[in-house]
Amino acid sequence: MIPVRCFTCGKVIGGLWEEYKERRDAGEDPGEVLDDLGVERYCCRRMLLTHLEIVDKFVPYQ
Amino acid sequence: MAIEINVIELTERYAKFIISGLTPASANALRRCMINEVPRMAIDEVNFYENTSVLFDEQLALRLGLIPLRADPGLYVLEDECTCEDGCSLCQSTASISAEGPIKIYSSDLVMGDENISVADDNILIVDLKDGQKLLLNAIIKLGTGEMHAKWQNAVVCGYKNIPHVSITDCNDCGRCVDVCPRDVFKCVDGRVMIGDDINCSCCNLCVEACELDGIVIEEDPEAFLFKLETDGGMTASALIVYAVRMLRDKAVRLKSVLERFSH
Repeated sequence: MIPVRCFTCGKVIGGLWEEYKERRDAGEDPGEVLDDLGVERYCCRRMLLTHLEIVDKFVPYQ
Repeated sequence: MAIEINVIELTERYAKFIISGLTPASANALRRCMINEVPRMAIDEVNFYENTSVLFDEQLALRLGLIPLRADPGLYVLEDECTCEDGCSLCQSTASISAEGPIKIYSSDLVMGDENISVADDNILIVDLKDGQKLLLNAIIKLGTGEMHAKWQNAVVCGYKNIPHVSITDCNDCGRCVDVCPRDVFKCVDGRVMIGDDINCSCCNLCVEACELDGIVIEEDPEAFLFKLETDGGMTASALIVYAVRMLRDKAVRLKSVLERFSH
């Protein structure tokens, strides 16, 4: 699950993940999507850029 | 010297303003007050009755705590200042979630016990419940300050710098300062080097080192500050500034009354 806030500055980024993922998968440039979402600082940008969703991989082992 | 405030940018969650005519100590007091001392509501304790989601109870509790809640801080009192022993309706409120998968739980799915409290952002993903997974919890919302935990911090980002003044005393229009400046303070107009927005200057002194004539002087105004402030939506930026200034004033008044008692 995407963290609720940026680890470094505390900006709420939990609500941005789904739109970011959708637009990134549609072929948009990740950097431009982040600019568009208002994610300005590089601490918050890395939160979304480097996130990997592993919830679906965990499910069979519950 | 009179205090002057010049607002450069003000939106619901962001403020950028110049405040001049005060000491560095006062400016820092304002900054620290906005970060540390303005109280707000946040989820503090969570009772889990059922949790078969992919996240542990502790992880979920942390995620819930970090969700920004919007409420008037005057509605509740701090737990330490409350007259009750172990929590009452004056110092705490509740929120709950009851769900069974497959469903995605968002911050808007929190059912608040008090209608005066709401989540600032509706779309924060809390947990993704898969087929057959259940979640049943009851959370306790308390008033707190940034001193205790970052979840009670109103200002996400809050900082200031002294207002820089850049001036050119000697120049042969070589343009090195234009190339070297990372903040684009200098600009070249018809072959002449000019100063553009020197408020963007970070005082890195790269231009001073690059200038062969030693013709650039950077000074900082010790009594003027450029504040940048960002909130997470629990409070608007303007409300936070006003609240912090009021708190500072009240503290100063209290200190004065204590000092007066000593002097008699």
